[in-house]
Amino acid sequence: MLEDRAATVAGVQQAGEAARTATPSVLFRSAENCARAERAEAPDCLRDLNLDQVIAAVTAGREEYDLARFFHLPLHDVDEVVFRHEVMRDLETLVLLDGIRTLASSMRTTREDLALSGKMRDARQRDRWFLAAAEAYCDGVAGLDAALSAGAPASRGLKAFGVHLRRYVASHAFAELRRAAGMLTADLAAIRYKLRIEGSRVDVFRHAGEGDYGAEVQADFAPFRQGAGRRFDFTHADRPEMNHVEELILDQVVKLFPAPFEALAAFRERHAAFPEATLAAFDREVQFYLCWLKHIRRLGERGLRFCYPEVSRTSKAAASRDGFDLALAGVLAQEGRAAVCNDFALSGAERVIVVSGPNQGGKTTFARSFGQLHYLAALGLPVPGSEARLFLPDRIFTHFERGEDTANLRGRLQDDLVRARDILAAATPDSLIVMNEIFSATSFRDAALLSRRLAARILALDLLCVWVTFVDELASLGPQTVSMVSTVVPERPAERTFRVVRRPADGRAHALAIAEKYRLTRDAILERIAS
Amino acid sequence: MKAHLLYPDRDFDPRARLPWSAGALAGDLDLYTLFAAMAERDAFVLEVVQTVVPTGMYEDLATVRHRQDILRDCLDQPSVLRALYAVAVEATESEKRHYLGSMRQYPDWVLRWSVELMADLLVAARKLRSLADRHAAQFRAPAWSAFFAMLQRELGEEFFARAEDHLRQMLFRHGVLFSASLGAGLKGADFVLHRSPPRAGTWFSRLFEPQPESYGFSLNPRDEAGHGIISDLRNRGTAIAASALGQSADHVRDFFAVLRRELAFYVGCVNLQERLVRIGVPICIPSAEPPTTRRLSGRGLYDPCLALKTGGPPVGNDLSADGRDALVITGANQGGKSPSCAASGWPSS
Repeated sequence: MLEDRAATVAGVQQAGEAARTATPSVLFRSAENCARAERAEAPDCLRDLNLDQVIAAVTAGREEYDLARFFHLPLHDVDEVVFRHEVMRDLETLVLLDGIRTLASSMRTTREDLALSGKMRDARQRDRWFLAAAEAYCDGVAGLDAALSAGAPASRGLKAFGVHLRRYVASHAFAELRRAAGMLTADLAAIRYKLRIEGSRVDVFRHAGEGDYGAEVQADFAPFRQGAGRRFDFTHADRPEMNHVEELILDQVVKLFPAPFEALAAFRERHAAFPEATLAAFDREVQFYLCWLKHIRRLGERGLRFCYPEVSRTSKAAASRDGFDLALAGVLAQEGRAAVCNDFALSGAERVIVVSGPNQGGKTTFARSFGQLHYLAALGLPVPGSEARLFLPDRIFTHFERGEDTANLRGRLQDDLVRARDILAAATPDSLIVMNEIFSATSFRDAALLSRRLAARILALDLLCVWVTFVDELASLGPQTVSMVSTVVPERPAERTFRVVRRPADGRAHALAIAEKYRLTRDAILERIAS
Repeated sequence: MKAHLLYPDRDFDPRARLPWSAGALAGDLDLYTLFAAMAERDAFVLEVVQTVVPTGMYEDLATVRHRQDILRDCLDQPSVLRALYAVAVEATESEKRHYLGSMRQYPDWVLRWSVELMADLLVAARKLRSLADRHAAQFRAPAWSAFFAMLQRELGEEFFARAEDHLRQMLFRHGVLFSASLGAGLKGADFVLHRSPPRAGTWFSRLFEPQPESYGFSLNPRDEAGHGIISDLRNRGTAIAASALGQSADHVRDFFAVLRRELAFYVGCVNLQERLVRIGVPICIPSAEPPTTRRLSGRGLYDPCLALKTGGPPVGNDLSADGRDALVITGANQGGKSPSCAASGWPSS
């Protein structure tokens, strides 16, 4: 079973590779990116951003397409992103979506039938499964062609593919394949043979219109029928492969009906190979959109919104409204709950969001969601939120606290520093960094010192960064930094809202709230002393 | 084929829910004494009358008159009624001799079971037919005439000849003959069973007359796996026969089951009549009137349960309450007020 799946995956991939030269692709504008996708490895940031979970959930059930690779290659070109947005918008048209789904199921049948065909020992069975694959393939292609004509796509991707498809469907090779497959299938379906089994002797005749004896018996006793009555249904164990007796019977059937079987034997050699490379690549690539649409729809039922972000290679004025952590939203959706949404907006010289506030108040989730938004935007997908304006970074770096790794013989502080150095060495002004509670393994004074040094380097690079820290003085380092704070319910300071809002970090936000609740603020105490 | 002996236009539903007052009514009128007398230790009759009698007063006038007509013939011909009932009992009980149980998933077991059961049911059907032939003329109610006419029409010689031919066919003496088409991967599909033709003519005609083109093979006697496969394949054909005949046997048995339930009520009535006659009290079939006419009168009315319990004729009372809405009975204690009251409730069932 596993081997089967591997074989199918390999088949889909081979088709994809063959297609590289024969673009149009619906995922990439350049053939170069097409090739890079096949080699793409998961970027390091996926794990820290929990996007590995999201990708696994989104691609579940479509393993045969090996879609994860497409999720491992963020785009750096605005037009490439817009190219995908166009296709995605087209797919929101029902007729196109249905046509593509039909193609997907036909192509799946085609692959399964071809796999079965390859496994058959008997040449006639092998040829018959091949014919079945051809029929499913032709139906799927013709259906898609009709859907593309009816759906009138507006995207460059689908338009170019539609032109290719139209030409292919009109080609002599395809028309001939379809005609021959249909005719041969009909000829084989018209065969009806009769078996007489007597002891160990089997005789095979042409069926000559003899009546249905089972129906005759039932008709004769039908007058007695009072109500629905029971039914007797029997199941017969069966395998796709014929046993030797069935082979012998088929031998006799072939003698009775030689012509269709001759045509069947010649079918494979006489007709063009399928699936055609571009179509096979399309079948795979379009799944990237379909799986994302399905995921969006599922979360949409929980009231969460997605939008097409406005992306830029130049403006670092990133902003998002009603964004949320997609991984968390997926988990909460299973429990029937919706994730909390947050906003952010950078303008002018603002580059670094410093997030502080009470623990477990949604700081890390906010930072993750910031990273996710940029990563997903670079994939050309609709992102969480009601609107978003995002920068296309050249790389996304993440620095999340990890448990002590005994293998590298470094202490946690040293490990933090080594990783920070590596990031700074590789980062460019176009990179994006997500930092989460680093330097927590040392004293507050050391942490503050180290953080200031690190912040100076980051500010000098002028890159986008979100930094979760308990060193709230970072928030006021200059015009490039923005302070955001996780909040609590004012009356109940112990209860988190999971909302992260733009507000100066005074280091007392949480303490003050608790003090107010217990009437221990300066004013409250003075008031009480006075009385 | 519908007997329709309890309702002019439908079957009796043994699972019908009793009216909510049935329990209280049965207690007040002491119906259990009555039921026991009707059943005469036949548990099946008891079960039926317990449902039919309490629902009786809810039936419409047409149903009441339908039953009265049928009952008149039953009272005239109690032995024919009992003979019909006996045939229905025999037919429904015959299934117990042929137990299928968990083997119903195996075509060859179902086939053997249905052939044997059907043979018994056909014997019962023949008896039914012959009772119809001998006694139809003695029954005057239109429902009975229709019933007997139906038996004579449906259970003709042609039916029995065909049914017995089917049972012979099901033995598959000349092998199993069925057709198939080429399904997925050329495997056989859409199996349809055919009647196996008798061995055509003599060896001479077989040699010299044109035979349909055919090709065949015989398995090596030592090919055990092959023989297993052939018997599986044969089962494809017998499975069709088994499901057709199995379902047919069910239908025939159901027909007798319905007939038995409907006849049971009249058997109960005849039992009761004979008991009351032995006790020495008169019975009559009342003239039924629609409730709107407010007609309620009678002579010598008595509580049959009192008669059954005491074993002697109780005192009868006359009643004349035509055009009245309510009946008030007063008088000395232990003077027969309650039995009179009960008696006036009787005629409606």
